[in-house]
Amino acid sequence: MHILLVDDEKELVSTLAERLGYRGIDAHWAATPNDAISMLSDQNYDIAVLDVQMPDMNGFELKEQMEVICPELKFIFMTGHGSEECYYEGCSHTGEAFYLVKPVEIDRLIEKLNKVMLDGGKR
Amino acid sequence: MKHTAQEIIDQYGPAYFGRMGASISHDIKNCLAIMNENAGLMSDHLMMAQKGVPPDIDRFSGIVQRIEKQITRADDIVKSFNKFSHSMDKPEQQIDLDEAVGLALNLGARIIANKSITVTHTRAADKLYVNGSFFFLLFLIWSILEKITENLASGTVLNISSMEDENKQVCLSFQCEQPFASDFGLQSSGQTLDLFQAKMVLGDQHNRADLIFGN
Repeated sequence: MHILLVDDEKELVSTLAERLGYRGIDAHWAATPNDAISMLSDQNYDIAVLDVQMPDMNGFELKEQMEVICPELKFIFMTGHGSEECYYEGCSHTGEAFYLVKPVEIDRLIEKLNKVMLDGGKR
Repeated sequence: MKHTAQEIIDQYGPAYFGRMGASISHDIKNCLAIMNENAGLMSDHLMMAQKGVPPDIDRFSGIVQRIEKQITRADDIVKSFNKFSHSMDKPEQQIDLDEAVGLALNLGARIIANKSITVTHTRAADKLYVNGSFFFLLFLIWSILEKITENLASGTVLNISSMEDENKQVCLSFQCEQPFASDFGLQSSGQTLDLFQAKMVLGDQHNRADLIFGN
């Protein structure tokens, strides 16, 4: 499983990527949407885990751009916002099963990653 | 028509307080998420040590430093929010203008960052004070800032500087290289300006707006 983690909180995604690596999941990270798009152009990923609120473009806008480059890519959103509005917006884009609120428990993230791989990214 | 402070607080206060509260809770959650991951990483390393992998002391030290950094960050955020929460305690007080600008920027830091706009703050050489409601001053500064940055391009730098103008009136100047789209027709700002007997003066090039207190 190849994962791309995107969040403007660099210390969060870098640590999360390292911890996923210890669990046998190949995870890379980007701290800006533009870096994520560049990385996606260079390498294949199965799932992108995107923060919702980021400078330059939000996670939903980034998803749309990433889908153009890699239509097969699947998505999980994670957010520190956690509001109802954000929650439902997340649902309408990816399905309720693929939305996580920070702080994210790593076992729960792995459970979601496995579910997304099995369900093909659609609820 | 003049509006009372209570009328304005009833109309706009909850929305402003809620917006800042939501933004701050987002930032605190990020701090908690980073602490959570680093505590988890430490736990991972301890488990590896139990399985015979020699512990890397420098690595542990780095993890602890990252957690400490987030504790300091979260503490600063909570201090700002606490100060904000107490800004409604007194209907009128003497307010350090630069302290108010600093707090308004801290509270809205994430919202501004999400617009990819950099806001710098140039403090006056000597302390400048205005009299009025601290909460309304924060609301006024934020309303102007939000209106100015509404249509600014990503990467723009906006400077806020406090000064005394040529008439010795206390002034907050908002300046950037490109023109603001807004003419400051914001109703809430207009009403709040009355509370400080203040006025907005927009420069000819529309890239400078001065908030002048105490006509």
